[in-house]
Amino acid sequence: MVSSTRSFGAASVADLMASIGTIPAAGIGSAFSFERAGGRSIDQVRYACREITLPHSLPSCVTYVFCDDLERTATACDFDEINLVWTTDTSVVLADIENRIVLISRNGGAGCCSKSSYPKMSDHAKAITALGLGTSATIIFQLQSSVVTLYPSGIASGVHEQRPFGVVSQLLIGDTLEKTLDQFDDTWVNAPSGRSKVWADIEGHTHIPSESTEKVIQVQLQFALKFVDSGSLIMDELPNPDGRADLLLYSETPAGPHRVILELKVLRSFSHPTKRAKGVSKVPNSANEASALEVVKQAWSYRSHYNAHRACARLYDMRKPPVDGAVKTKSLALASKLSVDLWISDVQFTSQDKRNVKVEKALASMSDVSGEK
Amino acid sequence: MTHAQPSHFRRYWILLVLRATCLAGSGTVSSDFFHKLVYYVNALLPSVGLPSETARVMKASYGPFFPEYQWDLDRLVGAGLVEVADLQWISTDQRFFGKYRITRRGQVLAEHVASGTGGLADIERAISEMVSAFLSTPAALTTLAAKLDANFGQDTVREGQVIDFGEWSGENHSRDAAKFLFHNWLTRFALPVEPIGISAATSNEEIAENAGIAPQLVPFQADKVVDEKNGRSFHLYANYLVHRLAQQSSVTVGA
Repeated sequence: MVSSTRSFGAASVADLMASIGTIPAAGIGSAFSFERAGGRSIDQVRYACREITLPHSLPSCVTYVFCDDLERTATACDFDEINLVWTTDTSVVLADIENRIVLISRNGGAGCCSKSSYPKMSDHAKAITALGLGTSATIIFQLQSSVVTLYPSGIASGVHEQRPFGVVSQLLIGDTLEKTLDQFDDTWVNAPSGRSKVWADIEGHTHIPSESTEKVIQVQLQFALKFVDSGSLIMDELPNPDGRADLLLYSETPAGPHRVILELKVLRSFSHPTKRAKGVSKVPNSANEASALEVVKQAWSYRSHYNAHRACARLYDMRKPPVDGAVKTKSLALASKLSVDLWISDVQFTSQDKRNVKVEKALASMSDVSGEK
Repeated sequence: MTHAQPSHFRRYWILLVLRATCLAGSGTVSSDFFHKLVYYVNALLPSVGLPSETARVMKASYGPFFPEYQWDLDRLVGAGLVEVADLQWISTDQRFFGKYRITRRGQVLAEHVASGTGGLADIERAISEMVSAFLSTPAALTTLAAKLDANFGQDTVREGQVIDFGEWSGENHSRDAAKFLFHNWLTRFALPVEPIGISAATSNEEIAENAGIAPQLVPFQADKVVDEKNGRSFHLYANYLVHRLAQQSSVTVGA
């Protein structure tokens, strides 16, 4: 127990503890910078406007991003070189959805060569209109605000509607998590330097003992997810009455905490101790089937316990071919019934396996193309 | 104890701070803001296991002041990497006051250096996070807030004297307070169970031990990566300063 009379120089424990109690309900997170806005705002806007019929077909839909009020002085070149670069960068990305994004600081000018600052919305409107974008459909995406404002006929019209908006972690939007897991497989689990160097060639082991495989993946994945998104906390091995949750993605949003459960399991052909020389034993099909079903049950069970928005499970299939496809079919069927997102990842062992997968993918894409024709 | 660094390292440090202010949306910073940012960067970076560039600061009436940083900042202006506007002479303090911003050339140089060196990239990331945290709570950058800082607010040091926050004494109260805030904040998660699994490990060995695996299996150089969870200590500390400021205001109003 920490004494409340203890102090850190001029700071007392009591004051420090009291300050934690003043943290807003939306929590604190990594600060939102223009750098991040450039990469993230698109998905955030998409998420915020998922129920809004966006005029995507229009060639220029302008999204204004206002940062929080900061000490900033409007200078002769307030549409500065740096922000101009950002505008260009984001325009490139936004070309995918035929949008444009203009990054503006609320009290720092509206992207125009002017000494004036634009504290009022009407001033921003005039400035944007002067740029020839006044009649483009517009979304006002205000950082640290709880609403987005949609101007369907452009900012010049003044007609607008407000929609609730909450900044959520990237990993919680759409299929980002699934894509991230796929990328993790491609760049780590199935990468030549990944498996061969880390999984097999480790000190004291000729290979990873089967009991440790899931843990190794879990630790690696945990770090990979952190690198993808620093906006959420990735917690691991959370004990609960039903067992231990492998990974819990936790993100504070204006609407409250948002949680996603992610369970992992590995399917293997052989189980063996630390040294391969000590012998290996075949893993029966029934054991793999039990694992495949168990991961779905765990995810389902932990979802309710942690009041998670989503339960996800990932099966790493490391079995040597030929494999029994029924294991996957049964677990997928159970996942479907329990509304668990189950993804199966095939871990390739040899270069030959990898080549075969590539060829299969290529053939599949060719057949898709010919089918379309 | 902080090791002496050549001045080019300090100049790189300055570019990182000014670049971070740009990325946070505040392209131009005043002299006073700049020195305060530099102070918090140096005082709080050790809370996430990264070194500070310097660990001594002059206690001035207008807040923290680093004469050597000002010297290098002026030389960066001369080199065309930083630009200054509205330069004024403050006769009462016998100093110049200006508004600084990094130029495009300076930004390119800072990015180039950061991308080429792993350790510097970590520092760059931490400084960006730190500057963003304080710029998103501007009240934490006021002189009044600085006087409530754990190091700076100590009555034992008078104005005009130098505060040692790790150069010789090894004591950095702001760092310790930030760490304290972070660890206590973690325990306040509204999870249905005790969040035992929240790992605050920052080294490969700690992570390996927690995970029950060999250190060689830890995939990334975790000890060289600023954990984003720990990065939240910057935000918590900025929030603490604002909280104290509000406390002081209410006391003043009440009086």
